[in-house]
Amino acid sequence: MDYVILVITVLAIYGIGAVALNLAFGLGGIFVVTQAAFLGVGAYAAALLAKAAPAWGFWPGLLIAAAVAALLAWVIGIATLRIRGDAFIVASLALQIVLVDVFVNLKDVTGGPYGLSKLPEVLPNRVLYLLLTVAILAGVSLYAHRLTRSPMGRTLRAIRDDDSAAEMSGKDTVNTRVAVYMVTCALAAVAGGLMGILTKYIYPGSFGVDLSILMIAMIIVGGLGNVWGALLGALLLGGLPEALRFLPIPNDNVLTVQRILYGSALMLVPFWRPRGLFPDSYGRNARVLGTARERPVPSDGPGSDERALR
Amino acid sequence: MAVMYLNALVAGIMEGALIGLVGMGFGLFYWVTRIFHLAYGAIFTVGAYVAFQVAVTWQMGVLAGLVAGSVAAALLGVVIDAFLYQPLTRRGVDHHMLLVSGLGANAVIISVCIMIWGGLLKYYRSSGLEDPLELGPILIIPLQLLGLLCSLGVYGLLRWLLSATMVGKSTRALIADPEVAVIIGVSPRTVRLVIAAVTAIVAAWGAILRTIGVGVSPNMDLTVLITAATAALLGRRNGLGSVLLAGIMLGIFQNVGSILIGGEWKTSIALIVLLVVLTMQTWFPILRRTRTGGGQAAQARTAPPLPQ
Amino acid sequence: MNATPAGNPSVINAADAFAAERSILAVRNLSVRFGGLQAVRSVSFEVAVGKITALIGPNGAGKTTVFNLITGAVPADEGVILFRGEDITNVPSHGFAGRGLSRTFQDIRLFRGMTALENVMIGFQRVKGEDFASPLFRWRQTRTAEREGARRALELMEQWRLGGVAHRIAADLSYPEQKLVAIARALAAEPKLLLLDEPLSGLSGTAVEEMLSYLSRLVQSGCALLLVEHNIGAVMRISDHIVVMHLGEKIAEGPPSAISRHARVREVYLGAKRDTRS
Repeated sequence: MDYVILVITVLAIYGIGAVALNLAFGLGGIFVVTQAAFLGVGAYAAALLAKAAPAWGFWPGLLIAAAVAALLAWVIGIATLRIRGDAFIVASLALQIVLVDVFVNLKDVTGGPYGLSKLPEVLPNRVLYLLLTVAILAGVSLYAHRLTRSPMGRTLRAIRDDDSAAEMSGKDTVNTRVAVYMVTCALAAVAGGLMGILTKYIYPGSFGVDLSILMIAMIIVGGLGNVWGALLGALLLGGLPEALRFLPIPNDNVLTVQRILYGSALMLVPFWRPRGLFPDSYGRNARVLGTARERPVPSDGPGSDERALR
Repeated sequence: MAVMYLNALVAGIMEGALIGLVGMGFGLFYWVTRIFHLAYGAIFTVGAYVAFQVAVTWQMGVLAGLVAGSVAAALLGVVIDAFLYQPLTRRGVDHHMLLVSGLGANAVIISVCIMIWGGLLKYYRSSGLEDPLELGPILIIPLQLLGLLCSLGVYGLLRWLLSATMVGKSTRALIADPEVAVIIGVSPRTVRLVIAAVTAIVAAWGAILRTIGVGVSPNMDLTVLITAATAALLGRRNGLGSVLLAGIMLGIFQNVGSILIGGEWKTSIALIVLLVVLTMQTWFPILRRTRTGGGQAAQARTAPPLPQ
Repeated sequence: MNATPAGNPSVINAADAFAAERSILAVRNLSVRFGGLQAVRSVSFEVAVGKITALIGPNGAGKTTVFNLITGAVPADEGVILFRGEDITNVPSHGFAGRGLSRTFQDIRLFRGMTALENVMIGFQRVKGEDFASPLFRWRQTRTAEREGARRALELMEQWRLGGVAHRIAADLSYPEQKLVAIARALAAEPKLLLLDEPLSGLSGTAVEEMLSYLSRLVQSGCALLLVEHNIGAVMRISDHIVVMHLGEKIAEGPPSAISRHARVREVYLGAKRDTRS
């Protein structure tokens, strides 16, 4: 039973990470590959603060972790989000690696490749911890849901669709993109902080690029730009390791099989469901705007030929 | 002390040449297809593994390994482009979705490599090419020198291909203006087939040069992709030659930097170089401009669209 | 006169000051070079308040490049651009809509994933709640403001007879509808000057007439227009002032009557009467 609670808590944490990733990636159209690294930033920051001040260190630790993450995201963002599209992908991949290198190499601070262990017990009651995590998940989801339907959400979607036209409509595309990337990374850090204390042991290997790609798979499968999609994706793909336990796969190969499964999903989803299982639903915004809703003409895989060829 | 730096410089040039080599392949693919080839690292890895398998495990010799690795990489490159990237482009899928499919392909291919060859380093030597030669105070590893020469050779080869052959000219036309190119009879399919194969072979050669004496592991793909893409990005304004130079510069910074702050920070150095140069390149056009109208201090603008 | 133009005082002389008063946009000695090609060479002209000015010229004359220079999409090598008395030469692209200068694009560039209504709403400046905090605090007010914004956008669209397509996805609209939505989006910013990049391209017959009457109405409501257009016949009918470009340079300027008689223009435009976009 304890184990089930642990699994659900981990899934909830993945959910926070996925919903957060969806903001920059799905809504903002930024190719973020750093989510796992920022989970790590949060985990280490919160853990270190909890260790330093076991009685009360954890909670401010979460906030500090979020702030550190936001700062890092800002530095990377202002340098790379200025250039059309793809420069950011390289920087993002590099940053993911660099942050894990930091976790591994700063042995005195982070415990090196073996990580930090014997982390203080912040909230012994596992059920309470789960409820807390779910509460945070609900809060983040509500925020994301509202943001999508807010003016900033519309601005983000415009920038995603055509940044030149958005600029001519008065939108500061560079700074807006940087801002959404900061939000995504800050929320990832919060999720990471929760994860660290939960397992009471963190090590760099768990925040590698594989997890970043897994999280991308979560939002791709669930549907870019859609909060429910992100949650569904987190459930399906986050639960993958657990589901694989029931199959007779030797322990060494579990990771590889997992990778093949979500890798295949990433290859196939663009063919069969280009917008994921729950695509970004356009017409819904009409309800917020209080105007009558007309059924949108369905278009499968709405193309941006020009973008694909850009 | 100075000798150490000198050797780092030399080693950096050699390593950088290989980065530039793979960067040229990556860049060429990008300029033709506009696709950030996230599966390129996997093609690199497959080239290395197949070469190893043929040359070492089946003991058929280096040349056979080279050919086998090139063929395998070329096939893989063509298959990915023809069955993944092109169909998705035709369906008008979002650009990021298309890139993500490359990411998935990379994960699957690497996983298959692990299943076939295991997750550990496969080490192999060539006959004495890794033994350092001494040129005064400088140690040169012949293999690395070979790598530098190969990179220059491939550069020449690619330049020749692009300027002297029909396919090459078609490629340049396609890069310059896709719409006009099609009108004048260029076949995008043929060009993409050739480019997918050629860039994959370039990756395979880079892979073989890099892994002889060092070993093949399934973890190379990401760092290779990052350094290659960085070189391609930094050299994008002036073509293949500047990509190669950017790669060499990156290699130098990484190696010399390793002496200062330790080899475990190589990727960090690459990232810093990337950020610094990108920032400089953004500000440069503004600095270059002569302003006769006065005006406020230069604000960085968004990158200009291609001229009409 | 509006705000004192920022910048090098020696260039902003009396003539410029006078110009700034009667014209809403003044372009002086604008030049840009792309690699080996001098795309625009020392082009100067003005756009008068409340009038329609057209920029015409054969293909490759540099007309759209001038637009791009004015709106900051391309940085100029030389020259000054004054808008309502302010030096906007170095203003970044996103600084124009808020200053009262909007543009449309030759290839329309609507936000394909959104409804037409949302496209128009993007045009609004100083939107309440356009930040990352509003989903947390002041959500109620933001929603109210959004409803109000939607109502205003719908009103604007109905003025252009677009009310019926408001909730259709932009990508699904017909070409003329998309063109109109793009103009509506530009108008949502309440511009004093609208740069229209080939508003008549792709239109024929009655659609052209409709667009021309829309444009007249627009000018009557106080917005100056600067058009780039290939349909010379329409340009002659509707423009107050015409600037003719050829190979990056201005070769003539004046009212339609003068332009149609201008020797050099006729020379450059051999077959001008047939030069309408299909």
